[in-house]
Amino acid sequence: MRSIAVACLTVVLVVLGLGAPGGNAARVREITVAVPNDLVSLDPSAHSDQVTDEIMTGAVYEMLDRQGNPMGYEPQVAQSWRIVNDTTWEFTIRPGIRFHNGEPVTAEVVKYSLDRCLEPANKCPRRGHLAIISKVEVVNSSTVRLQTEQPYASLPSGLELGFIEPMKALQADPQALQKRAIGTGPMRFVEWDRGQRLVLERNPDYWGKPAAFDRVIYRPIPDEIARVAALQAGEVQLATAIPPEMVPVLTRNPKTAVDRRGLREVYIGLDSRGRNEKPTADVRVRQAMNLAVNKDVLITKILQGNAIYDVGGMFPTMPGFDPGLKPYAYDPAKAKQLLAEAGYPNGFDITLTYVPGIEGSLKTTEVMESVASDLGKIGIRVHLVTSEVGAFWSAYHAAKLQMYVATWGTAPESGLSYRTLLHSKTRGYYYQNAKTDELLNAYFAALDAHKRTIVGRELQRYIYDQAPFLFLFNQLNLYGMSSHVTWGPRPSDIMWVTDMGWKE
Amino acid sequence: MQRLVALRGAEAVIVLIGVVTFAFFITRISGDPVQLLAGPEATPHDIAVLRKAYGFDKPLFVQYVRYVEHAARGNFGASLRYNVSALRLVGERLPATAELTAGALVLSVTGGLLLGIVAATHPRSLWDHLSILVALAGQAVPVFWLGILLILLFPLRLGLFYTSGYGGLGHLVLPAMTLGLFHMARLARLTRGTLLDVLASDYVRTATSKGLSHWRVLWHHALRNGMLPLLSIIGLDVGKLLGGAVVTETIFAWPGVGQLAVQSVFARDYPVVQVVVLIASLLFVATNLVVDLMCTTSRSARPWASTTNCCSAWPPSTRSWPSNRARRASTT
Repeated sequence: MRSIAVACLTVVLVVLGLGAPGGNAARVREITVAVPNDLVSLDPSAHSDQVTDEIMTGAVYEMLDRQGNPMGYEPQVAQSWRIVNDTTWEFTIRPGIRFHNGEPVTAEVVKYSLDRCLEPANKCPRRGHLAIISKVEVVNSSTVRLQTEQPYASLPSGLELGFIEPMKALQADPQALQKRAIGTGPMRFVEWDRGQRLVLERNPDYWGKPAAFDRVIYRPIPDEIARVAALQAGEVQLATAIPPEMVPVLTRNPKTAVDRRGLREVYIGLDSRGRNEKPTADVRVRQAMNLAVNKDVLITKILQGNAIYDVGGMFPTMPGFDPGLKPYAYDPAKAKQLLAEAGYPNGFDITLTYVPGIEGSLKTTEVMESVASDLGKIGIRVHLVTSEVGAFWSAYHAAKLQMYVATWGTAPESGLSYRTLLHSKTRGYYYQNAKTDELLNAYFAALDAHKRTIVGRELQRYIYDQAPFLFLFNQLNLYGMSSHVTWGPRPSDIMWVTDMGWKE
Repeated sequence: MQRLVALRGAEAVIVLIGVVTFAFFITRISGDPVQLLAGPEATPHDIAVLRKAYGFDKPLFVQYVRYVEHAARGNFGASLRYNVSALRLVGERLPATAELTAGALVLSVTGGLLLGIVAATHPRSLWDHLSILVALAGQAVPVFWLGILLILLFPLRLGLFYTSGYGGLGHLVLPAMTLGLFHMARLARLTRGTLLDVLASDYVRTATSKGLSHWRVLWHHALRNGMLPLLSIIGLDVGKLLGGAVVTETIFAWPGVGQLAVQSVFARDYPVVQVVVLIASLLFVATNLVVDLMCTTSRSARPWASTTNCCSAWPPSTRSWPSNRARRASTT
């Protein structure tokens, strides 16, 4: 008996002895970032995963331009650009830029990179964002011209997804980028232990402002509590996508801080064509639904202040955004009145399908329950149905849903959230309106900034009145970080390494 | 013996072919991977272009025939998401899962056996009650809750071990504890039950009355015979541990096969799902075969051991030993 006790004690002591980790001395030059999932691929044209983009775009790969601070576009690989005519843009390539393998960046390289993704046989998932480009022409070794199929004011946004890739390496081996990431960015690829970590080191030959860190390591930690725990234990210095309830915990602790940036629109799509649910075909019903939902409760109580209002589905960074336009008020009485006018004094039944956590939405279940409860108060009986992500998208693309939840976070300033979701040519499953199409075409064709603002204003007002969605809110992306980390305020969810620093 | 192996081998091949075919058709009926690959911002046109490039527009049977042709040559396709050989992807993850399974097994077997032995040899004592408590709690506690609790306690409060990740032994402790507690609890309960039965049997009483030391009776006689049913349980546990560590792997960011399998199912990454199903079936069939062989050899070497099949179902404490029945009849 005693010998068993002694044996147990020995085992426990040995195991505890293994326990103490080396401690995390405050290393200025290395930062570890915890992300929700691992990279999908080192080749930017082979995947559509958001987390991979956030990592690789901010550090290894670059594009012709990138999102500016706080608005507009900043040149990157391109030094400048000009509009030659309605469908032609000319980009001047910055001289002296080299890839991590020493290859120079020239106009031919830019053409090769863009063509590579535009070629359908290459299965580039992001092709749709660049598909407006009909032809890429090399004018001389430092100038390239892009022809668009029709006038397209958001071309710089589309190009934010046109990564510049090493032509010579790919011509020698088409799988080259699957083995090593080779870009022009401030960090160079060192190694990728799939599922465990990605290690990048500083690029000493970078053309721009050098990174503050010698090494950046990305670790996938899928569970959000474990991610925050890693930050609190000092194992990582930055954790992305943290849950709202951990914000007070991290702000209270003097060793950690919380950062909010970027916007993700969360909306409920309605069947405006009335094919699956007749009442929502009437615009008054859709407006009534918008008036019935208490968005204050959603933003302040459920998301604990980590969101802003969604006004007519337009992002504040989009040209034409009207700061004077107020979101739909919380007015259940008016909502009931509108419902009665539309011929539904006793309300109706509807099914709301959602996937908890879809596309980065936080607290989806709680939000949906609140929405359903609010709609119930004006007589709309909502039947909540959770779905699995693959089955959800199948039903969505087959236009079978009555009411569904989705989000949009890509290139908020570009207007793509409007065009992709509301234009009859690109989705059209749940909403088709000739005037919307007309306004959208005009918005994207308006190459002149002033004209674009005017069209944008009208577009926002029209969509607001049309209410094809139940507008909820724009989530702020939440990041937990060590209080030593500094991060410049560019409103983008890409982790631009050159925006980050370390203070003692 | 050789006949048994050959027979089981043939059965295994049939099972595996059936499982792979089943997995092939079931995954493809469940949904379309192209929409998920294209991403939520794709238009119907983008999706159609991608579908054609991947060859998913061909009829299902044509796709199946092509798959079998490639599989026969060892090519199980490339992961749709990662664009790497599916076999290689799963193979990369197997060592991590094996390490976690081994760690959990070591903890659960040593802990479970120790606790069960102590409880059985000191019936109705504090140890006995403690072991029953541990057995109940360990089997009732949900894995995800236990995992988070351990993370909050050890690295955050006590500064021991790591919150997550794959590395040396220090990284293995918490995940192994999380995964192993359920099995440890179960094994403790079953060990206690078996030993109580065995310790009450005639030959143990004979050995004790012959003057053999407590330890020798326990080790050479009681445990040796009591181990048979426990071995089969442990064998089945290995299969379950290998396949079911998904939650633990997700919480501790352990790069194992379970996590990969679930992510692939959600992403409709068919080739990877099929390879995982194939390998899991292979491992399960192999483990069962090994356990069966062990039972066969042990039974032939110990003709005085239990006459019932050592791989039969639980529980042993209600199995009546002929001597016990007679003894009970005489006392009541």
